[in-house]
Amino acid sequence: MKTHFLTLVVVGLLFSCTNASEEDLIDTTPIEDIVTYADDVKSIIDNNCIFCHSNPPENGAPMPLLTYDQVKDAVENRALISRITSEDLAFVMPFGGPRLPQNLIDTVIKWQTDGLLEE
Amino acid sequence: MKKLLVYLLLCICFQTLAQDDLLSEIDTDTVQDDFVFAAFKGLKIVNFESTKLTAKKEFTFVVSHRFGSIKNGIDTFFGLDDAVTRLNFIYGISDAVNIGVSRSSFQKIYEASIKYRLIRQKENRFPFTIVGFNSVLVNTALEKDNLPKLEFKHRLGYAFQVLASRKVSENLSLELAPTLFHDNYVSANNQDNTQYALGFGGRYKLGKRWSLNADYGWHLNRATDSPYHNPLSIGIDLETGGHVFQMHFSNAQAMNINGFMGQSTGSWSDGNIYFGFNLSRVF
Repeated sequence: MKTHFLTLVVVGLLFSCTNASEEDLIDTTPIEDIVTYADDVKSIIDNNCIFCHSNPPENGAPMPLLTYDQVKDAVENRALISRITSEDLAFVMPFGGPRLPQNLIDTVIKWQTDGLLEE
Repeated sequence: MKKLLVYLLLCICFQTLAQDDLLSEIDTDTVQDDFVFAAFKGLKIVNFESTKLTAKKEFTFVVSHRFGSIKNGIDTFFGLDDAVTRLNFIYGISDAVNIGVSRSSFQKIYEASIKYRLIRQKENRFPFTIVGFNSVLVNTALEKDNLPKLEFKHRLGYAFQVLASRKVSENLSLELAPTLFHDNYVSANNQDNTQYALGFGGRYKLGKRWSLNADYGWHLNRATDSPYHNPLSIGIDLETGGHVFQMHFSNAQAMNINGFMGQSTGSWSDGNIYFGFNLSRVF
């Protein structure tokens, strides 16, 4: 009986077998406008970074990323972009992976090219 | 077609469950000295599973750590600051069937596994021990905020492995591990979700309590633009009463099959390797 139940559970899991990669699950519309902190970057940081980069920072994070000034400073002086773009899963942020989807990384890079505007 | 093949292979284990009962009956009836014992001391060689199982009604707890890259030197204390941890509980339903659950901080992966011995190496009779290993993984680190079309099924991954080992001499044991694994979601766009690999492993006893261990995973269908590498690990096993302590260097930081085969980012050639250990304790 137990084995039957287990079989059912596992067969259930097997039938959800699927094939997806990053581009299947992201919104692929290219960013047209100028990227700003308030419109684009804040939500990425809030969803992925402030769990540890809070104030005070937790789990060994060195600085908070709660405000525009803090995030701007991290891009300018703390190599935020090289931390999120790294292919080395032992170095990349968010720590422990997975790496952020490429479209979100591109948004942050475009924010820097557009001049790190707040609004 | 490929999908069907995966289903079949993964289902095989449930048929073999019934056979295992028979096998263990045969084992108890004919306890003789011609079984070859202890090809490996640990349940793992380094990253790959070994052909050793936890005994009936025994409970093994394995704590594994992989530190960050030693390349960053004293800044991260050779990787200590960036460690990932895996807690793995294994229970022996019988001497030939083990079940396990684990949680790894690498991508917050939960895993359930079953490991079952099919044949044991026998002196002058059968040259190999053959063990099967299946696991189902759930990656709980994927975020819907980042991947808007994410569904629960994308978090799942599967692995199926056949482990064939041979204790060549008193000191030397070797293992071959054909591996099939499937991730419902892969981050690299050109990577096939169903992936094949061949694992090689070995142990050489240096003394009564010491051995040198190594394993290597040869990925057979990695995407050409993949940022990931084949995992190579070299280490030392130290057996103390009740514990097996395995210390090693590896270019894989992940500890599940799908992780170390599919997402190893380190590389031996540029010194980007990780120190790690597995500590196992039997209760």
